[in-house]
Amino acid sequence: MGKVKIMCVCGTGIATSTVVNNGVANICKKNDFAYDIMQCKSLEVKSKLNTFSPDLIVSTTPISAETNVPIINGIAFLSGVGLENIEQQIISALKQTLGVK
Amino acid sequence: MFNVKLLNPALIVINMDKKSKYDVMRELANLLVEQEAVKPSYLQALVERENIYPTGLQTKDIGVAIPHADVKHVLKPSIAIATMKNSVQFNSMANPSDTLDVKMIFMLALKEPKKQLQLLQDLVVLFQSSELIEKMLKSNDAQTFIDVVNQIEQNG
Repeated sequence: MGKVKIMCVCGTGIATSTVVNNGVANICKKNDFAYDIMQCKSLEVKSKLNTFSPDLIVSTTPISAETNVPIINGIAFLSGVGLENIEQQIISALKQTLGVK
Repeated sequence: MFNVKLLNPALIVINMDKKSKYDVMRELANLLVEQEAVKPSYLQALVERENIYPTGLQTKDIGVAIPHADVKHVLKPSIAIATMKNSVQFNSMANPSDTLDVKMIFMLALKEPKKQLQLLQDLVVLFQSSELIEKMLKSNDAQTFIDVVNQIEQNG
């Protein structure tokens, strides 16, 4: 089975992307997805898109870089509001990716 | 739960009476500087960051904010907390042009975010507990606030 690549993004690449990274990793482990995760700050997204080629971006801040990669709003991992919903969204997006790998 | 060793009564302000997020950030940052937890450059970095990447979050019950800045301004990992007498406006992390009414601010001085993941996770758990949030808002002094958090740690 293929590996999914997820990019976790926040404003400064320090605190909130760490929480998102952890949350996404847990979802992948729970669902037996082989994964590769990186975290970065919003400004780095454009350059990392080419080097990392993510299948999915989970971000706590709006992203200005133009991309066809699906972007999921990761705020739920911080606020605690909408956690089940975001889990479903992530699983759905990753399953779609794996379907074509 | 919370790493209670990080909770220092000198860094907890109850019923802070400020009108703007800048005044709130200034007061909390000054406390962190006094405790030698951050460099004097920390406040400027916080404000600059907050202007571009705001940290307001709408939790189930109240608006909170988690201002923080680059690790290079931090000397000792710490957290400064304020409960507000009246809510103050912060911009929303999810939608930076929107503002939120914030009642509690958690100013994070993180040195190694991956090692401090537990603290961040604990905050997320806290944000989901209506009971805990209510008790924290009702605390009349810093020690009571810390005791509330301690109680949850023992029971939870």
